[in-house]
Amino acid sequence: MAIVFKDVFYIYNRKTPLETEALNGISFSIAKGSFTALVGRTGCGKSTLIQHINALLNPAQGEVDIDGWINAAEKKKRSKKVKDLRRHVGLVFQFPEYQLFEETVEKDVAFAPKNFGMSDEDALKAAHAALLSVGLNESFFKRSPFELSGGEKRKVAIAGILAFHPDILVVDEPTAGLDPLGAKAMMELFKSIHDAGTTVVLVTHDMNIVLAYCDSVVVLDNGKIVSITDPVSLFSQDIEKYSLETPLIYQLVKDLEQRGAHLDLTKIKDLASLADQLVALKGKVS
Amino acid sequence: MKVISAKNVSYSYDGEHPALKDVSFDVEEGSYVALIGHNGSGKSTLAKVLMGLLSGFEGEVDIFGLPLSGKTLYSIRSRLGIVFQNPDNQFVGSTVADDIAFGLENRQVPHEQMDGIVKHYAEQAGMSDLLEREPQSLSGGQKQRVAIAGVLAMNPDIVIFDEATAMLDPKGKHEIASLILSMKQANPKLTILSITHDVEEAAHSDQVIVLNEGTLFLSGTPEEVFSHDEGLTKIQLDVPFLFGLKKALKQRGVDVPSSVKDLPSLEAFLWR
Amino acid sequence: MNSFSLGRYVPYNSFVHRLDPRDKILGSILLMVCVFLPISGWAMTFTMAGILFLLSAILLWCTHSSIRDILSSLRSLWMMIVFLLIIYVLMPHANPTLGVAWNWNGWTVYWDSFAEAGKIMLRLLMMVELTMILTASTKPLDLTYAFEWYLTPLKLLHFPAHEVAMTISIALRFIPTLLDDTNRVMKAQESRGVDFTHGRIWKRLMALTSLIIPLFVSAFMRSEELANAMECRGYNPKAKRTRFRLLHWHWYDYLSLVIVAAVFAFSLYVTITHFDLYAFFWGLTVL
Repeated sequence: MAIVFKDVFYIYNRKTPLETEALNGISFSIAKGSFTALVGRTGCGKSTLIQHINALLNPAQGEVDIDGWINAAEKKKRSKKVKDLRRHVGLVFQFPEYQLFEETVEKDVAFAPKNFGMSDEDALKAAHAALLSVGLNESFFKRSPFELSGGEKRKVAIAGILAFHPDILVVDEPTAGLDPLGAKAMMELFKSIHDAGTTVVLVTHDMNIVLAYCDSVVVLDNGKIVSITDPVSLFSQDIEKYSLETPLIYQLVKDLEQRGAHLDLTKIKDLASLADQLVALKGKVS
Repeated sequence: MKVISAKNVSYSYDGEHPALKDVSFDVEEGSYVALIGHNGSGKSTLAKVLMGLLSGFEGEVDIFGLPLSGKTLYSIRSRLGIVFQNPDNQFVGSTVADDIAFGLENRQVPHEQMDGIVKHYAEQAGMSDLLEREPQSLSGGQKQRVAIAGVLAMNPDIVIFDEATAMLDPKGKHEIASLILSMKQANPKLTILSITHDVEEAAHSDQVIVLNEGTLFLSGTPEEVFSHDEGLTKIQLDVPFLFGLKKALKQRGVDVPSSVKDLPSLEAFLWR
Repeated sequence: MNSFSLGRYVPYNSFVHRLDPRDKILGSILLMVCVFLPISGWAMTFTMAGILFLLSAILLWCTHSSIRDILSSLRSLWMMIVFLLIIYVLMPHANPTLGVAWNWNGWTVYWDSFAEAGKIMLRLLMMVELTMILTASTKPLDLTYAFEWYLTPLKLLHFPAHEVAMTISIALRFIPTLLDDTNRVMKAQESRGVDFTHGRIWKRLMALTSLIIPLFVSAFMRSEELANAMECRGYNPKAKRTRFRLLHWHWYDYLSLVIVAAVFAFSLYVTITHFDLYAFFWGLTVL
C-alpha cells in the first residue's frame, strides 16, 4: 500500500484565523498506482487529510505510513528528514498559480528539483521536460511567470511539481476556475501521469471527473470516512447527504431504474456510452 | 427596449492581436443573457468594455440609448451593477452590513435610510442572520451573496455577473444560481448579463451569446444555440447535458421531440 | 468560524466597551500624562501612583481581558524592570532621604534606589495597562473612526483624513485574508522542499523570497481588483460620502470624561502646588 492512515486524529484549530478542519479517527489505505478521489463537502477535512500525506501537518494521534515514511504524533516515532518525503509526494494546492515567484518560468519549475538535491543543470533539464509535458513549449521557458494567463500559470505551477517526478501526486481541485476545455486537458494530463505509474490522489467536487477518471473514491464527512468504494457503486448510493452531486448521467440512470428500466451500469462512463445504452433500451420498448 | 446595444466592437490590449473583433449584439430589457466562450475567447474583455473599465475600443456600445464614453461613464455606471469573480476582492466593508452599505455611502444615501435598505437586501440575499459577520468567517458563496445584496441595494437596471461562480464550490454555485432566478422573479424589468463558462447555467437563460477567438460565433435562445448542429462542438465548447444527450441520441437514430425540455420528460420519453 | 483579534480586542459588552472610542482615546492620553507627572515627595508619589494603578486595574478588569493576555503583554516588561532595579541599586543615589537599606563594606544602598525603581516599574505597568484598556475594549475599526474624527480638522490643511481612514479600514479587513495567503504560500513552498525554520541564516533569507514575492504579487492583484470593484460601486475618494456607522456621544461618555478630567486636574494641582495629602491631614488632626 502506498499510503496507510492508522487511526489519525487532528484537532480543530480554532484559535487562529488559519483554522484547520478536524480529523476524527481516519483509517484507510490508498493502493500503489491507484487513481483515488477524495470527496466531501467543504469543511469535511479533505485539505487537512492531504496535508498529512506530506507531513505539512502531524497527527494529534495515530500515524500515517507513506511508503515507509512514518508521520506520527510523537516526534520520536516520526521519520527524520522530511525532505525525503516531500520529494516522494508531490502536493499541488488549489489555485497553485499563487506560488510562482521566480524571474523566469524555467527557474520557477526548476526550484523544487534544486531544493531536492538536483544539480542546476539537471534541474533545468527536468524543468524543460516538465513544461513540455504540460503543454508549454520552449517559447515559455524564459518568460516571466507573471505575464502569463491564469491557465498558463497553473500549468507552470503543476510542472513545478512534476519536475521532480514524485511517486505519489496529490492534487487539490486542479480544475477549479478552469473552463471545460482547460479542465479536460488538465485531467488528461493527470491520466497520463497515472498511466505512467504514479499514484494519484485527487481532491475534487466534480463528480463527473470522479466518474471519468478515478478507480476509487473515498468519501469524507465531518472528519470521518463514510465510504470507500469505486465510482459506479458510489453513485448508486444516496450521496446527497454528503453534499455530493450525482453526475447527471447517473441521475438519469437512477431515475430510469426506479421506473423499472434496467441499464448496464458498468458500461456507462460518459455521454456517448450512456446514449448507446439508452438507444438499446428504447429499442426494447418499441 | 434594447438596454445594451453593441455595434462592431473591437479591442486589442497590445495593439497587435485583437481580443475582440467586430462584435455586435443586442440585449432586451428584462432578459437574462448568458455570454459564454473559452478562456481567451474575449468574453472577459467584452465584459470590461461594457463595464467601462476599458477605454479606447472601436465601435459603439449603447447602454440605455447612451453611447458609452468617458463623459457618460458615471451616469451609465450608476445604473449598472457588477458582481466580480473573486469573492474576497470585492468585499470592502469590515462586516456584511458595512459592505452592503458601501455603495449607499458612495451614493450619499442619508444615514437614517441606510439601515432599512441594508436589512432589506440582506434578506433578499439570505444573509439577514449574518449582518455582523466578518468576511473571513464567510464561505465563498456567502461572500458572493453579500456582493449581490450590495449591488441590488443600488437599484441597478442591469446586473453583470463576471464569472461570479467560477471560484465557488457546487453548493456556492447553486446558491448564486437560485439567487439570480429569485432576483429575476422579484424584478422582471431587471436585465441580467452573466459571463460564464458554466453551460448548465446558460441553459436557463433567455439568450445565449457565444464568443470564440474574439468574434461573435452564435447568438440565440439556449434551444437554438445548443441544438445547433455543427455549432459548439466545432469550437469544442460543452453543451448542457440534456442537449448533449438529445444530440447523441439523434446521432444514433433516436429523435427526441422538442417538447422534452428537462430530465423528467426525457425519462418519460425513454421509458414509459 | 472565529474572527482574528488584533491587539487583544476582547469581544465583550462591558461599560468600557460601550464608551465612545473618541472618549477612550482622549481619556487614555490624559491618564497617561497623569502617570508621568513629576510629583514631589515619596509618599505622594506612591499615593498618586497607587490611585491611578487601582483605577486602571479596575478598568482593565472590566474589559474582561484574560489573565493570560495581561501577563503576556507584561512579559516583555519584566526583563526591563529587573534590569532597572539592578542599575538603580548599583548606582549611588544623589539625595537620599529614605535612609540606608544596607551598608556592606562601604557599598551603601539607600531605600531611595528601590523607590526610584519602584516608581518606574509602576509607570511602565500603568502604561501597559492603559494601552491594554484601550485595545481590549475598542475594535481596531472603531479606533480608526475615532482617529479620523480627530484628524478631520486637518482637512483644512489638505490632509486626507477620510482617505487615510478608508485605507486603514480596508487594510484591517484584509489582514486575515493576507494571513491566509501567507499560510497557503508557505505550505506550497514547503511542499517544494523549502525549509523556513531550519538551516543557515542565508538559506532562510533566500527561502523568504519564495514567500514574500508571491505575497506581494497577490496583494497587488487583490488591490487592483478591489479598486475596480470600488470604482464600479461608485466610490470617489474626493467626493462627499454619507456614513453607515456614526459615532454617537452618550451621557456616560460625558460623565467618564468629566471623571478623568477631574483626576487629571487633581494630579496637575498636586504636581504644581507640591500638595502633600498626609501633611494636610496631619495638619487637620493637629487642629
